[in-house]
Amino acid sequence: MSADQSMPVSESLTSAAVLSKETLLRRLKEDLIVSPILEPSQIGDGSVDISLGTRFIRSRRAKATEINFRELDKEKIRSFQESVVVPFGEHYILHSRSFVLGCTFEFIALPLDVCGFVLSRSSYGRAGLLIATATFVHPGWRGCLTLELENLGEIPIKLHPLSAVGQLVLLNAAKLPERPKAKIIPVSPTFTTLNEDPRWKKIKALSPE
Amino acid sequence: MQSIDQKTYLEVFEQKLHSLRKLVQDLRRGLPNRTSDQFIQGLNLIIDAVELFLHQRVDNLKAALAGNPLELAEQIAFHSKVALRILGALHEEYLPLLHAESQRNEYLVYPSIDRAVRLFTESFELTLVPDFEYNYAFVGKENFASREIELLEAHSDQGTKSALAALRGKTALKQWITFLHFPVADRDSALNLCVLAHELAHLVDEATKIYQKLLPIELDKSSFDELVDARCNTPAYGGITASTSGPQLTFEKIFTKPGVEARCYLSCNEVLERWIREIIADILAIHAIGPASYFAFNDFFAYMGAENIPSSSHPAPAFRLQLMLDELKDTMGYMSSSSAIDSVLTEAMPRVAAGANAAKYKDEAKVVQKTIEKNLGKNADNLLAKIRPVISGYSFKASAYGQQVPDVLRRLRSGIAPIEVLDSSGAMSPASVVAILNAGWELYKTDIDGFYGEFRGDVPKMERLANLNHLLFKAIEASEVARRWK
Repeated sequence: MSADQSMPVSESLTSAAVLSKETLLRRLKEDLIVSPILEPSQIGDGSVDISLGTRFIRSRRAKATEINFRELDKEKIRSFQESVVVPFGEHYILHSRSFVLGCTFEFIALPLDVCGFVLSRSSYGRAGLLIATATFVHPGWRGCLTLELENLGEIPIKLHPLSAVGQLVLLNAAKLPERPKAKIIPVSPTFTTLNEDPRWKKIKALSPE
Repeated sequence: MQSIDQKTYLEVFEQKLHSLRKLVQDLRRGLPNRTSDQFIQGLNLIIDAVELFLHQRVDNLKAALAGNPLELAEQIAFHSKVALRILGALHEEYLPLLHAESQRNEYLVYPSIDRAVRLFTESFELTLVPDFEYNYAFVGKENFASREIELLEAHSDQGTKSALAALRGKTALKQWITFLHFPVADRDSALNLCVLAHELAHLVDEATKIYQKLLPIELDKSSFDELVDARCNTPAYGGITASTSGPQLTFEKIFTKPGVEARCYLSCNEVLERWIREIIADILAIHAIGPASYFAFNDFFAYMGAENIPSSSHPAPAFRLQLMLDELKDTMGYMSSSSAIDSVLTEAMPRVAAGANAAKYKDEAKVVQKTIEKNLGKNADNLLAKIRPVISGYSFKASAYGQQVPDVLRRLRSGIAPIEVLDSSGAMSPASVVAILNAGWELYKTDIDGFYGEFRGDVPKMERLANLNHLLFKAIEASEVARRWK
């Protein structure tokens, strides 16, 4: 008898489980939103394939010498980034060792008792494309997810809007009492908001530059 | 005496031709792929035609005036000036359109607009032009390049004419090369951009020639006679006497009464045609996108700080708003229930009617207003009854609103981009663009605080409104993809 069979499945373990395909289909009809689902095959056991949207944020290398989180302000951030739109049917070329922010084509709204993780699809990963570094999606979150796209390989990669580059793994979570208030409900990639971290004030007080 | 060396014109022409071609190429590179392709082809064709025209003319002149160098130089200079002026006009009128297009709205609403226009005509290219003038406008050029080249042909000798005709026949362009201008400030506002439906309606009117079915209309006789009498007695020199001792010269003394009458008739009909075309576009737009068109225009007039007075091109704003509300109520079935949207519209009715009644009309505007009012009666043959059949298959009536908008609105209110809705079979299907826009307006007009409540307290209100517009754009873009995918 295997360990799985011998151990009773506790209530807490059940609530932490990855959502099955059957549950995903049911929740998509009730309170989970991943929209639009263009192909039924996007929904798998435990995850939903997510595709690339049309909007990207890339760095203006010639404008920036460094990213110093300690000294960043909103205007400074904007001065060294630019927004790019790639219409459907066209592509963005991500060169070797380059980085660009993209976002999901799908609009996502998680119920209050479901959280998620964003993962690369292995088929793209094997070509060198990494799609996410900050992968956790909180219960109750709404919007289009920002994807941190990086080409780790040696050869440039064409990024096509609507290609299914990632997957959103969904799990049960302890239910929040209410939907958290939003600062923004994003529909395009959003750059770092690290400059808003109150911790910087204290760091600066300790060691003024 | 010539102040410029005659030879200079031809040299300058070559320089200008080169720089213009280079500019078109550079601007083309800055545009998203497949944008303004037909327009650029047309521009290049006209530039080629101007070059061909001048070179052929110069060759012919050289042969014909070989023994008369002074006359030859003068003729070459004359033709170069004509060609330079055409290039100058291309530079001034058309290149700004290409430049503006490179600054287009980053949300991809174009596919939805394209689909809507295709219901009425296939042979068109449409370019969205963000404009720094705070205005929405439609510019349509029918057989754009051919017409320009035909003008050159009319002033050419037989050989040049044939060469130009051959060039003209080389490229078959779309029948309509059209531009929709919108204020740059509105580029991120899906709600405000609803005014574009009116501008698109101008394209439908042009392509299907609705206005031709409505005109001519007999002018209102009593107000027309009043205008003629007043004009007859109007001093021809704006109060300045022609001679210091004699009586003032009036229009009647210069033109005679029938002459004044003929001029008034022409000017009144010019205004009438422009107003009729605005009314056609208003009625088509209100049917196409329902209350959203009324709300967007109401805000647009306010943003412009528009006075409630007519111009030679447009009827008074309040009169137009009243026409829209009347159409919503009388023909489309709105304002017959206690729903939130009907309540907002019903409540607006008396205010708008008061505004329409208060509008002041004089001169041609008075004649045209009276003429239009006479033709807006309830009889089956009235003005609007001739417009409605064009759009009847796509009219967003109250029943459609009731079926489509509530589910979209419910999602939007809770901060969800309403890309899909549950259809009658219980499956998800793409929300209609019209339902998305109307849900946006209903939310804005009836429960915007509910939407604002989805955000943290430190987020400024205008940022929350901007986020509503982003959700609407996202829903329009993604629902269109979902529709085409299936």
